[in-house]
Amino acid sequence: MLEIVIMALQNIRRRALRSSLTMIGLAIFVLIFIMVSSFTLTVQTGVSQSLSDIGGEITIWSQGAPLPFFGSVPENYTNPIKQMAYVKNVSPQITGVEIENLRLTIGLNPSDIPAYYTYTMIEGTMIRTNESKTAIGYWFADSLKKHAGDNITLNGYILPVIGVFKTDTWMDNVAIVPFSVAQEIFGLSGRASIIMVTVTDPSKIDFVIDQIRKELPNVSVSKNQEAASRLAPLMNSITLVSFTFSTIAGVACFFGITNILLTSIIERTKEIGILKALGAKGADVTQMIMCESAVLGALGGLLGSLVSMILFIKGLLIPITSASALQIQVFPEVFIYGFILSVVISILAALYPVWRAVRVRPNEVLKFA
Amino acid sequence: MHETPILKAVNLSKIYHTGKISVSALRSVDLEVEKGDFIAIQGPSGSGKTTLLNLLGGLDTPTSGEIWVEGTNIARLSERHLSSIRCRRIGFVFQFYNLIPKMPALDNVELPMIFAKVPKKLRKSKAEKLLEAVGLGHRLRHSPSELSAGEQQRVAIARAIVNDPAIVLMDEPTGNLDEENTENIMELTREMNREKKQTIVLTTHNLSITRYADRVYFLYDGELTVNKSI
Repeated sequence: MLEIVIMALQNIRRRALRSSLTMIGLAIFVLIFIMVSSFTLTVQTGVSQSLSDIGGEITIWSQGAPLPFFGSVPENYTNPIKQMAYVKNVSPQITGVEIENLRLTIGLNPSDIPAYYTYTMIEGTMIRTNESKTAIGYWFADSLKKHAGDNITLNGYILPVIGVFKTDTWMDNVAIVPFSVAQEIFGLSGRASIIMVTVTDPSKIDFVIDQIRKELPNVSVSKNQEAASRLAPLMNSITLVSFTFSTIAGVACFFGITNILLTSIIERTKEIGILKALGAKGADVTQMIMCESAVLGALGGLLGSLVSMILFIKGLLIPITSASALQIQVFPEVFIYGFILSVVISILAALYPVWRAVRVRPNEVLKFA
Repeated sequence: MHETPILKAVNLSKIYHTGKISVSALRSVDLEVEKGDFIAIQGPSGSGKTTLLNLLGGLDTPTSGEIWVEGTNIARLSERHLSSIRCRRIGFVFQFYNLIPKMPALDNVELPMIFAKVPKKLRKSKAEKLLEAVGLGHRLRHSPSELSAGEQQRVAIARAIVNDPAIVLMDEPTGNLDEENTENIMELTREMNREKKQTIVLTTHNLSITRYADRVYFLYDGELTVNKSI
């Protein structure tokens, strides 16, 4: 077996150009797989993390909207809620996303900020009045190279930055503006994206939710602890899209590698005939080609992982994210799966060429020089 | 006492079918080769020499008849068993050498030993020794394209005998060589036959080289018609 493996390695070395092309094809697949999977996992992890970091205990948003920025509720819905028993604080908020660069803006009344978010100022101050000013998260500031005293543009509105804060959560990618300013920026006069509620007694959360549902039957009310499960269908869709992209890339790669291996086998028909005339069994030929293919798969997987890692370090793994607040994360399991898939695809791609090679009859290919 | 022939063909026929056309390449050939024999099968191009050697060596299966190699009828053996016989019991030398182009001479000679599971150290030393014996000790690392036609055929001969096969089948081994190389190769073949007692079955269309053989058969239009002793 070892000898056949060595022969396979020598064959790869002897056909350096073809081997390199095969490896590059596999590396591109691995790169695409890592890109798509990292993006999907980053979004999923980010959203789950974000929801678990949401301040308050109850969230109210437009019925049927998968995320707060896809709908709105009337701002005056806060009034009946404030009158309910066990309600401690009611905060209408705006969550706006700039489609152009995927940055998130949160608008809330400055007096509500301490009740819902924990932060540390690293520059300037947090917003304290309803003036058209903003405080921005650390990553947000870093991606735009902005500091306190600079101006930023949110949805076409130029706002002075009065502070940069740090939370070590998704909020570091956010710009906070006064609620009334956010309503103007995002054209939501008299409305709120969400209404956040805190209660005086945590054991009464379900009671308060029941009260809100009775009073406001046309909104969606949920415990923040359960918010993640509400997004399951959306997350599943993202996973499905990611899986589809990876599958298409995998299938394209599979046919590409099959084509290369098949061409290689056809070119080497005579060589395989000679090996069989010299005593090579079908199993020897199978092992040799499978081994060549698996080694190419492994090398392609390593190359793809390496290139992905370099692109990640340089912030170019998914170019669009360099202009947005989305911080792509590294998931070691994605690299491992990419490597395994590369080997599996190249082995599967070798099946038909191997079948062809095993059927080579030495007497038919050795007739002529 | 009469020994069992090391190689025997009984009523051997081979018909090739190409579309609706059938061509009889061999017609009821009978042949007996004793251990240590050196026989030559002479015949013009297209007479069926290569077909006969392919059948005797288990590279092809006959349409009918029997082929006995060291007491085993290989005519209907599975490909797996035939591979094993080709690997250990039969050596092949082809007209066009059929060396693996990108492998140096040493690796080409080592190949049959890989399939015979010979340990690496032994393989290397044996291949080196054989290449030295055929006068190519200084060409071990040369690829076939860097060798002359005669040298390539000597590598092919070393490769054919490296697993010490009982029978060596040579299909027009000098068909592509000049006179001087033809003489060298035939001397080498006779030496193998005499010193190693290897059984040689050689095909040729060149009458002059049949003088090296103990017996000469004549194959014409698929029939082994003439059998004359030298």
